[in-house]
Amino acid sequence: MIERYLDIAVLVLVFSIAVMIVRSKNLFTVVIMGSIFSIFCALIYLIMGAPDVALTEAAVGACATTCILLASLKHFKEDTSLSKWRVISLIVFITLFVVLSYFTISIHPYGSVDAITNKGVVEYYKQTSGNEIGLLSLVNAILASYRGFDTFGETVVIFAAGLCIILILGTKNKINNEK
Amino acid sequence: MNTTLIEYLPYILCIAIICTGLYGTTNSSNYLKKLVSLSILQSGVILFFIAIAKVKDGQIPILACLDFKQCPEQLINPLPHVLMLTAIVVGVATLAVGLALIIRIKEEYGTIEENTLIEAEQND
Amino acid sequence: MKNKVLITVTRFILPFIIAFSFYIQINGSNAPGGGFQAGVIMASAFMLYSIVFGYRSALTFMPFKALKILAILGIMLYGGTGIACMIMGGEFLNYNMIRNNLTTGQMLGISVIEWGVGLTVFATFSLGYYAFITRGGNEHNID
Repeated sequence: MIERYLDIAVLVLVFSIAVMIVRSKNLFTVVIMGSIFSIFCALIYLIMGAPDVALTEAAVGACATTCILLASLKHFKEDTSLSKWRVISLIVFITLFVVLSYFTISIHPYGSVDAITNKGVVEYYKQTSGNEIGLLSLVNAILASYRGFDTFGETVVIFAAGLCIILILGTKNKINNEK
Repeated sequence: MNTTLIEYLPYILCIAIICTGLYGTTNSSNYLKKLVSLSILQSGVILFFIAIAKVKDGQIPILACLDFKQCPEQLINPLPHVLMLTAIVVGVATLAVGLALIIRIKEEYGTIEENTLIEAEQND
Repeated sequence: MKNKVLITVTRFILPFIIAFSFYIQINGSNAPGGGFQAGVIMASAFMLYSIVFGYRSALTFMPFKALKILAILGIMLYGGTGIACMIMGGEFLNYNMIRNNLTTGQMLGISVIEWGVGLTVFATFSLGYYAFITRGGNEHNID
């Protein structure tokens, strides 16, 4: 029974951290809270049974994103102001939340065994992946062999993003107090 | 009705995180806060996909033996995990490009607050 | 300003982080892990060294040119595996054609492409961090 409420408890914690990020005045708070948000998201991926995604989120969100945000924070002033509450904006977002929740209730309940997303090509992967590919890790077999072309595209996208950063910022900069 | 709501509560909380990120993106006046709120929105979407894939009393998607018929067991759906691995890394790459653009905006106009920036752009 | 606690702890823990990243890269086929995670963890080790010891000493052993070559090498490994499969008579990225035994071919192809992905991710994250940190900012202290 505690397992049923553990997911919901950590999700409520994550939601409150998200609200704290949106309603904060200091940019340094935003960066550090973003790192804490990523760590708790990694915890909840682990509770929901996704160890690959938890490892990736912990490494990327808590280490790499925080370092890059801190490295860019030295360019900015740290204080910002909160915008006033606008009534029309609140009405729009609450309507959006209600409409999305109404349509979410029509999918299968959380954790149900005979969900429609578990049928189809996933059954084929489970049955034949061990014999055809020979890897024990199902996620890596799908990522690298069955959907290998998508992974190729993703790697090229990461390389293109690195290329964009070098094009925008440049690598031959003289810092103010050098030489 | 109460038991039905408890079973759908993880989905509704994920949608609340998505709406919070969207609110932060549209109603912040600072560009850095807009970017971090966008990253919250993305994390909410990924949470939703991982919540769909969960099976009660299911094992994590690592096979126990190579032939599935010899040790059959109830596995968690591995396909959304694969798609979300791609999504996380691409998301952080686009966050880095956005930060590079913000640094250049700051060097050109001297500010990253939205109201001041619009005035500075009109006077330019 | 040199902080003795940070320097001592970093000298002690940095080899473990690098060894952990290699462990996750190699055990991608039987455990959670693979190329992406290993690349990001290695980039995190690099960022930690650059934060504690200063970016100039990090630049001496991994200059910009080496990172650019590593990034391209990763993608060429991936594409090269695909083209090697085409040369041996199959479609692009069909690992069955590399060896006579089908599962051995699959495992070999998957290992090579995971190394390619790890190299590219490490090089890109390190390159992005370098570009941010060497851009002159005059608001706060740099080192």
